[in-house]
Amino acid sequence: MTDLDRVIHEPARLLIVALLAGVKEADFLWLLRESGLTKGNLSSHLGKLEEAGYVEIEKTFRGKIPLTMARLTRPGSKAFKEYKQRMNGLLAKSGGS
Amino acid sequence: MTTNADLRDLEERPKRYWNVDGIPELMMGLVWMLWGGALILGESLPKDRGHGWYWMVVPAALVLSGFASNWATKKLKEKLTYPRTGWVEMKEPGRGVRLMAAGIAVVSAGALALMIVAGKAEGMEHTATPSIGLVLSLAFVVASVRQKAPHMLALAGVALVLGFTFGMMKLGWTSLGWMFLWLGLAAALLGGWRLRRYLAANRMPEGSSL
Repeated sequence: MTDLDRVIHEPARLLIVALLAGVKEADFLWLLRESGLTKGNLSSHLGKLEEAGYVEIEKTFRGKIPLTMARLTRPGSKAFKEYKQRMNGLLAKSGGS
Repeated sequence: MTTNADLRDLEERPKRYWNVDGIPELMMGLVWMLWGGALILGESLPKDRGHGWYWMVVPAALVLSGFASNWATKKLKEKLTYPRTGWVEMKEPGRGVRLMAAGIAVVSAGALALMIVAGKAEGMEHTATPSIGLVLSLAFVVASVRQKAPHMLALAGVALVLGFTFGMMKLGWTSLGWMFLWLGLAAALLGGWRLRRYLAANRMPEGSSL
C-alpha cells in the first residue's frame, strides 16, 4: 500500500485523473458536473495535481466564453497507469476483483 | 475504495457525454434519410448508362455525407452543448484507425453500388434488407449497453422491425432505401426530442452567448 502514489490515491484526485484520462482535455464546468465536487474542492485538487505536474491548466476562450481547460500531462497519464497496475496487483494478492 | 470497475466507468464517461444531447442521433438520422432517398431514387432511374453513372458518383457522395455529418455534429455541440454542460475535447483516433475507417467506408459503399448495379445473385436483393436491419439492430444493442444509453434499444427494435417488414415486401433494392429512410426518420425524431429535452434541462449560463 505504501507504494501507491499518494497524489493520485486521494479519492477526489483519483476521480479527476480518471475523468481526464478519457479525454484530450476538458473544462472546469464539465469536471464539476461529472465529479460532483464543489467548485472550491475541485479548484484545490486541480491545483495539487498541477503542482505535482500531473495536470496542465490553461485559461482560454472559445468564442466569447472564458474557459479553464485541464488536461492530463504525460507524467500524469503514466502515474495513473502505474496506479491502476499497482491496484490490480494489490487486489490480486488479496484475492479481490 | 475505488475499484477498477469504477475507474473504467469514469474513463468511459466522455463517450457517454457524446450522446447526452441527442445531436448524434439527429445527424445520423438525417444522413440515413439521405442514403435511403439516394437508394430509392437510384432504383427508380431507367437502367441505362445514366443508372451506371449514378451508382458511380452517388456512393462517393454518400461516404462524404458521413464525414460532413461528423463535422456538423461537432459544430452543433460547440454551439449548443459545450457552453451549457462543459467543453470536452475527445481523444482523436490514431492515423491507422482513421485510415481503416475511411477504407471500410469506401469499400462498403463500393460493394453496395456493385451489388446493386451488377449483382443479380438470386434473392440477394430480398435478403440484404433484413440482414442489414439485423446488423444495425445488434449494433444499437451493443452501443446501448456499452454507452449505458437505453434509448438506443428503441432504435434497435425499429431497425429490426423495418428490416424484416421491408424484406418481406420483396421490393428489391428499393426496400433497403425505404428501411434507411424510415430508420433515419426514427433516429432524427428521437434525436430531436432528446435535444429538446436537453436544451430545456440545461439553460445557457448568463453572458455566454457565442
